[in-house]
Amino acid sequence: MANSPDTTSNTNHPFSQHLVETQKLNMRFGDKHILRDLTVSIRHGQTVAIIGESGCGKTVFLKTLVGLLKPTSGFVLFDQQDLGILSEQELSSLRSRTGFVFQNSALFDSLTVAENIAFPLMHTSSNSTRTNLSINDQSQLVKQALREVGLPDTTLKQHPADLSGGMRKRVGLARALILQPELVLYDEPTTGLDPIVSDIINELIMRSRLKHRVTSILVTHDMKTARKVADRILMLYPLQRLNEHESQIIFDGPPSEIEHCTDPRVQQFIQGDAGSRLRELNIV
Amino acid sequence: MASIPEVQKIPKNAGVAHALSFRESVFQRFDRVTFFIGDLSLFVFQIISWGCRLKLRQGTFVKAGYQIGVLSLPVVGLTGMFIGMVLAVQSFFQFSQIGMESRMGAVINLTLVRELGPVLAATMLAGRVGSAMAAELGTMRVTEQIDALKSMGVNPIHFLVVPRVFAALLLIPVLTLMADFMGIVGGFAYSHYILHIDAHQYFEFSRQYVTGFDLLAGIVKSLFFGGCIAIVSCYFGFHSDRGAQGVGNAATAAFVTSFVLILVMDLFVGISLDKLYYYFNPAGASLF
Repeated sequence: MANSPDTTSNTNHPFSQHLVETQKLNMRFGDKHILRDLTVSIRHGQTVAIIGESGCGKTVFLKTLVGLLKPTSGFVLFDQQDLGILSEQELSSLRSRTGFVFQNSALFDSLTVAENIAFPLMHTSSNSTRTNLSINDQSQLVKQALREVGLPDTTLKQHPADLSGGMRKRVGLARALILQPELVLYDEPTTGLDPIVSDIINELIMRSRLKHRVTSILVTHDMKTARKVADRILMLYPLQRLNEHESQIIFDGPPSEIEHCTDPRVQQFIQGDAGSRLRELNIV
Repeated sequence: MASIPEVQKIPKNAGVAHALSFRESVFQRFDRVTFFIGDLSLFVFQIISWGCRLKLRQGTFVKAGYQIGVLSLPVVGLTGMFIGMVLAVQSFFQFSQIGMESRMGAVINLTLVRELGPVLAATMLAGRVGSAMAAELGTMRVTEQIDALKSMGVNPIHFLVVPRVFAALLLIPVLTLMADFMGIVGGFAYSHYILHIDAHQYFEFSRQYVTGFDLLAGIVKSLFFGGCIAIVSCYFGFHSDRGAQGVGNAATAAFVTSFVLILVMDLFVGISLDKLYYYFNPAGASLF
């Protein structure tokens, strides 16, 4: 199943071209090799869940897609533009077409919820019509964005420190979606949340996809989220556990196929079975 | 009977291995220092590049200005006043031995205006604001807030660093003047009211020896110090390691490096200004 061609897109985008592509992507931190020869294409409107064990490079991969990390070698293409040759200004302009929901929300501590959500409207050099609105119109948009993620207007004046984990995640989602981006990246959107709040986040991701027709890439450990939200699952495996010739992508296909995947490594992960790892870690 | 301890055998090539590991560690250290200088230079280049665009983020600038200027003013004034008084206490004994205590004003005020005022204001700024800047930016780095800025197409150096550097450059001369003024007041108050030195003579000798150039030299020095503190503190914050310890280390490194650089710059800027003074005025008379 490794590196199988992408046949899972269910979008009807007029150009049906790839929004994001990586070619022979490699990433090293010092002596540590994290990503090896990753070639992935993601179509417009697709929702891709990237799964895999901790430390296999999922978040690193996600961050290279918007140029937050520069790959050691290889290419990242966003809308057919090579991020590696873009100027800082071009990269900034391109990033304003994306939204990023961080693992711990990454809300600005010193700003209120309203200021956090309005931040992209006020500070991004985007071509979006939303950045040229009056203060009143921006304020209305912020309130609307907050309601879309199910938070009351009373939270507008609160600071991130006053909110629960689930509320912070929703504010992060509202901030990521306010400029109506073409691509939204989610870094472990449901980690650390209770099952009900996790499902609320899943629903919000699905609704944002339906409403704004965004392309979404989410990194998750949560198989329930991956099955529910994604129309394509991509599983990465840690390089330390692979031979030199093996592909780092050990599964690439729709959620319905992952159950029938014969690769024991995939089955071990989706069943959450420690198995032989206990012996490897000398845990008796 | 106590057992005889076994003599530890030293491998034949231990000396060579030790020399090699020493050489490696020297090279590694050299490598790290070279990387630090190169990285800091690039950081400064980016600050200058973004600073020249003159689109200052006003919110960050006003907040940094308030932190650097308004909140630092009382502590800088207070320490300046006590330093002035301490100078009076320490110099009185020496001057009274040779019957020249009436000239204390010149020494106290010259020392304050040229050296202690700028260095004191800069040290307070490095301790109070520099380490706070490093800790704040370090926390933003660790909690991915800097990545969040980048992901929204906002340059974090333009948004977070440039306003802080501008605020430090703009306000450190004010803090220096405050330290000078309070030091002069403290030194005079102690000399006149406690040591009973004549006020007219105190200020007359000060007027003769302390020139406008001395005051200007202190202000010029302070600009170097202010820029250095803001840049170094922001650099360490930006490159903070993960975790609470990483942020703590960044704050400590910011203060220690700033403080060392303040003293090093004080020497070299002082020498340069003196050279400049004698270049324009070889006779050594007052320029102002």
